[in-house]
Formats: sequence, C-alpha cells, structure tokens
Amino acid sequence: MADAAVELHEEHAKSNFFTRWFMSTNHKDIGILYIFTAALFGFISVAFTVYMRLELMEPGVQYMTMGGEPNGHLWNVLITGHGILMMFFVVIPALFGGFGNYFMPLMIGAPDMAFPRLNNLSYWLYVAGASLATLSLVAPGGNGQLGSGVGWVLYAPLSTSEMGMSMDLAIFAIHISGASSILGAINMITTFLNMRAPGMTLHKVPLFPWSILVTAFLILLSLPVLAGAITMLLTDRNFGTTFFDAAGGGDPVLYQHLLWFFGHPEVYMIIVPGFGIISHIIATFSKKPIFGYLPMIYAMIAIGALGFVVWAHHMYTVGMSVTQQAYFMLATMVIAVPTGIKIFSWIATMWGGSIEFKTPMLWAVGFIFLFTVGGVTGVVLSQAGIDRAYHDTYYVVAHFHYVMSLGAVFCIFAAIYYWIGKMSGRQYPEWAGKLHFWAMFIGSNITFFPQHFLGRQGMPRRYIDYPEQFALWNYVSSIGAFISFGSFIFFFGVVFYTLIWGRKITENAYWGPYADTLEWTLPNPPPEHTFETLPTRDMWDKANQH
Amino acid sequence: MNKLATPSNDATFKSIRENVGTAKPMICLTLWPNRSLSQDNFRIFLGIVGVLIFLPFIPLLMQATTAALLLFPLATFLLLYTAFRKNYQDGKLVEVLKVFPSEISVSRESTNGHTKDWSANPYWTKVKLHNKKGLVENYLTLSGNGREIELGAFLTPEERISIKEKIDEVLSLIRSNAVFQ
Repeated sequence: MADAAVELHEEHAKSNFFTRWFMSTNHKDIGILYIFTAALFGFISVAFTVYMRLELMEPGVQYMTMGGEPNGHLWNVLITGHGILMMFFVVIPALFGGFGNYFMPLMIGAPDMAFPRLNNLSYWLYVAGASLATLSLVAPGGNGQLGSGVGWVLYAPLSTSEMGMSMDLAIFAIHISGASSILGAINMITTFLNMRAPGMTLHKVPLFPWSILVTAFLILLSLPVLAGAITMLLTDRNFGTTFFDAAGGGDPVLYQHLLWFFGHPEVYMIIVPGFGIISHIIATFSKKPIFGYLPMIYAMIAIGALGFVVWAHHMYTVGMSVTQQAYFMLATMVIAVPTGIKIFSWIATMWGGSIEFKTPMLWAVGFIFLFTVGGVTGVVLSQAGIDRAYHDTYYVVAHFHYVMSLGAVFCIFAAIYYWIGKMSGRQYPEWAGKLHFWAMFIGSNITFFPQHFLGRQGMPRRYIDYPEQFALWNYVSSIGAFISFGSFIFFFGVVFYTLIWGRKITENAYWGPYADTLEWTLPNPPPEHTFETLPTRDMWDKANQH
Repeated sequence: MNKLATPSNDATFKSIRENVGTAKPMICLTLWPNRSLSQDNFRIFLGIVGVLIFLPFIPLLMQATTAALLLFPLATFLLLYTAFRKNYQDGKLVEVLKVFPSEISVSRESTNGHTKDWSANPYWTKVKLHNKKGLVENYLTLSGNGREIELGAFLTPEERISIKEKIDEVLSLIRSNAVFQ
C-alpha cells in the first residue's frame, strides 16, 4: 500500500550541473540540449558554405588549392559535409528533437515523454552520430586526402569505391543518427497517442504536436529503408558484395531508388514540424484562432503520405520509362494541393486579424513567402521534360535552399524568438530580433535568388570553378552569403545577451490571449516537473473563449 | 482518461442500502491512470503501421540476401510494439476501494504485479484532502488502523474531490446507522 506522502516530499531534489545536462531524462532539458547541439553543428556547416561562397565569388580557384593546383577533393568534402550535417544533424534535431521534445509533451499535458531514459539515449546517439560525421571530414578518404567527397546522397558506385575510412565513418554516422531518430520517433508516437490530457481527443490536439506526430511517422516508415540501403553500401565496400555494382550483377540505380524513398520524406521531416510552429505563431500574432484547423491537420498527413510516392522525381534522368516519369510528375504536382491548403489557411488566419509584427511573426510571414517561392520552383522542377535542362544545375540548388534554408531555418528562428522567453524566463530585445530578421531575409534572398539565374544559364552544381559568363550572379550570391553569415553571428550574440541580460518576464502568456496552448499556462521558465497533476479541460480547450 | 469504474458509481442512497446485508460492497471504486489510446485502437494502429513499414521491402524479398534487410523494419516494428506494451504496463497501476458496513479496504496493484492491501473500520476512518506545497493538488488520503494512505494520486484534482465526496457520503451513512434501519 502506498503510504501518504503528506510530510515526505516538499520539493523535488535539485540536480547539479553535471547530472542535469549530461544525465538528463527531463524532456525540457533534453530539448534544450538538442537545440544547442544543433546550433553548434549548424555553425560548422554554415562556416563551410561561407568558405565555399568565398571560393565561388570570382571565377578561377583562389583559396582551395594544393601545391598551386585547384583542390577539387576539398571542395567535394565541404559539399558533402555541409549536406550530411544539415540534413541529418542540424535541422531535424533542432525542430523535431529540440522543440518537439520541449513543447510536444507540454502542449498535450503529459508530465514528460513516455520513456525519459530512452529520450536521453536518443540524444547521446545523436551526439555520437554527429561527432562521427564531423570526424569523417578529417579521416583518411579518397584521392589520398582527408575526408569523403561523394555528396550527402552517398551515391554508388562512387561511395562504394572511394578509398579510406572516411566513407565508412560517414555511413556509421548516418546509421547511428538513424537509430537515434527511430528511438526518438517511437518515444514521440507513444507519448502523443497514449499520454494526452484527459478529454484531449485527436481533433483537439494543437497543431504543433500533430506536426511532430506526422514527422515521427515519416521517420518510422522511411529510416529503416535508408538503414537497409547504407548497410548494403557497407557490405559492398567491405565484404565483397555487389548490390550496387553492375559488374557483379548489381544495380547502382537501386541505391538511388532506396535513398530517395527515404530522401523525399526526409524533406518533409525537415519542414513539417515548422508547419506546426508557424501555425501557432500566425494565430498568436493575428489574434485569431487558426483558420481551418482540421484541414491543416489532414493537409500535413496528406503531405506526409504523398511524400512516400514521389521519390523518383529526384532521378528523372536515370533512364526511367516515360510512363514512370508521367506518374511521378503527376504525383509530385498533387502535393501542391495540401501545401496550398496550408498556405491559404495561414493567409486566411491573418485575413481580418489584428496583426502585430513582432519578431516571431516577421519570421513566420517571411517563411510563408519564401516557402511559397521554393514550392513554385518545385512545381517547375516536377516536370520531367523541364528537369532535363535543370537537373543538377543551380536552379535545383536555389529551389531546395528556398524550401529548406529559407523555409525550415526560418521556422527554427521563428520558434526561438517565439519561445525563448518561455524557455529561459528572459526576453530578447525586439529591435535585435528584427534586425536579425531583416539582415537574414535580405542576405539569404541575395544568396539564393540569383542562383535561379545561374541555373537557367546552365551552371552545374558541385563544381569548384566556373566560366566567366557566370561571374556576375556568383559574385552577388557570395555577397548575400556574407550578409546572411553576419546576421547568423549576430543571432548568437542576441541569444547570449538574452540568456544573460535579457528582460525578465513573469507573465505566463506573454504574447497575449491567443497564445493559448498549455505551455502558456506555465511560469517562465517552466518548473522542472510539469503536469504531474493532469491539466483540466478548461486549461487547454480555449476555442469558446476567443 | 482517468477512470472511475464503480458498480455503484451513480448510486443513490437507495442502491447503497440495497447492498447492505449482502456480500456486495456498498461502494466499489476502481481507479487507474490516464491512457489516451484504447487497446482496441492500439491494435488498429499497430496493423496500419505493420502494413506500411513492410510495404517498401516487398520488392526486395526476391533474393535471400536483400530479404535479410527485413531486419530493419522488423526491429523498428518490434521496438514500437514493445514501447507501447511497456507504456501500458507502466500505467497498470490499479487501486480498488471497497466500503462495507463494517470495513473499508483499499487494494493497490502496482506495475510489477505486487498487491498491497489496507483496511480499517469505516466508523473511525478519516478522509482528507491536502493542499500543501510539494504535493499534488487535492492530495487525497485515508487514515485508519494506524496508517495514512494515499488514494488516486494519479487522477486529476477534480476527480479526487468527487471521490472524497462519494466516500464521505457512504461513511456518513454508516456512521448515522442509516443503512441498518
């Protein structure tokens, strides 16, 4: 029998720095760890691109040389490192691991994740994977140099034939990251489905937890395929199998199918959590409930489902039949329908609202504009005929950076400015947030918009040098990259200032009454243990009060 | 949803009196923690995930070597199943409160299957709600037979209030001897 604890526990025991941050099982602390770790690897990855843009600023090879000759291998290593770090170790960990861990349990009224220790394991597996990926950059690799230069997609036969252990380390890094993501996804799904507050039916759950659930399913269903594919790469490299070697009866195109069966849902794993965040921000600062709550949910589910049946639009040029290409074109264009539902619902939420352009709202509106631009060029690229001309050109680089760099990354910044006061108890200076936004918005557009022109001119991606004809827009693009990088550095300063000297905020729902999900009922920052007593319906069901 | 499964849940004084003199308790409450996915829905969910996760591997079943890659979706699927089973197991905390005219008892089955019992004379049993810092809101205890035990600590504060009202109702009946008339 459980004896009463009336006199026993007045307070939870306080943990010291080491136990709190190295052995944490608290979802909020683990969320913060994910965000900071992603920021670190994000900085490394962005630094690579600044170096690359510096090199591309003028025709000819000025900086990446070895013995006076252009060092193409170094270029390839930086391209590969940027891709692998960004795709696996920066954006998803920040949005899904960071904000998902911190806010999903709070929004559904759960006291923690379903499996707190498993959550800790997921985080440290992620750190191990990210460390291996970084190490692969300096381990012996191809061309007798350090690092692996096969691109983040690890296409065979390049990845199966490159010498050195760098490629193996990169593959292990992705394996470990995959294990971390699958464990995290299982934890999120169990928490979402089984630990919602009493009365919170599926159609009452806020949009951000929904976006995390959809993302978790994408991870659960696609990562085992990637794990299989890269295991086959490993055995081809180390055990003499020929899964992807035509000389041994294998098929290198099979690898591309397997990779993109994972790779296209990966794009949605990156962006769908952002959809959830943007919905909350738009509603909060438009001072209106979100327009089309149910269509928003089912649009996310539809985007996730369609994401599994369009993978081969990444590989129109490998020799598919016309019928196959026609199918993948059609299926790809269909994705514009649920995406359009989301865009129009955000606009409809703002329509007639009393819009307040605080920093998070600026990032959210910026996201909608830029994601739409990236989406439109996506529809262009979905056409197999047009893709013949644009395949592997800077048009593609511009497209996916508009979706991911200007899309997902804008969501991360929006989320940080929206919730930093809740997480830290201190608020950023509004002018600094706005300056960061405008510098980043202008800088990243100057970086990526001219790349559409370069693509249309025919400049191929993944090259260290280019002819004189491409000089102008490369120069402009590099200037934009430096402005963006400057704003990124400034952002770190803003975060540092906020955490140390930021204005203390004591009001729970400091963005006003339309910030009405459960995290806004808690103090800033929330106590270590939250919702040990389950929240009641009046705390989260605010539909009738607006 | 937190459950209050009570054979005499909406019992009136009349129905409570009807149980007097029989082996049935005057009131019986079964309490367990909130789980938002029912077992039936869990089975449907598992079926859907099972189909979706193995679907992309069907073309690979043609060869024994590629079929070995089924290990990955299989491991993922088993992990998911195990996670949910563990989560249900963690929520398998059941408290059963029974009140008879001459005895009040609470039986608590914990997640590891161990059962602990407490009983006391209802005439002397105290039912109390505490609102002290560090405790859950409306912390409910029963004292008697030399011990003070908690009841429904995993429920919502409102549910604990309604349980207290129900127990008070029955105990006052016993104390006033109303049930014996």
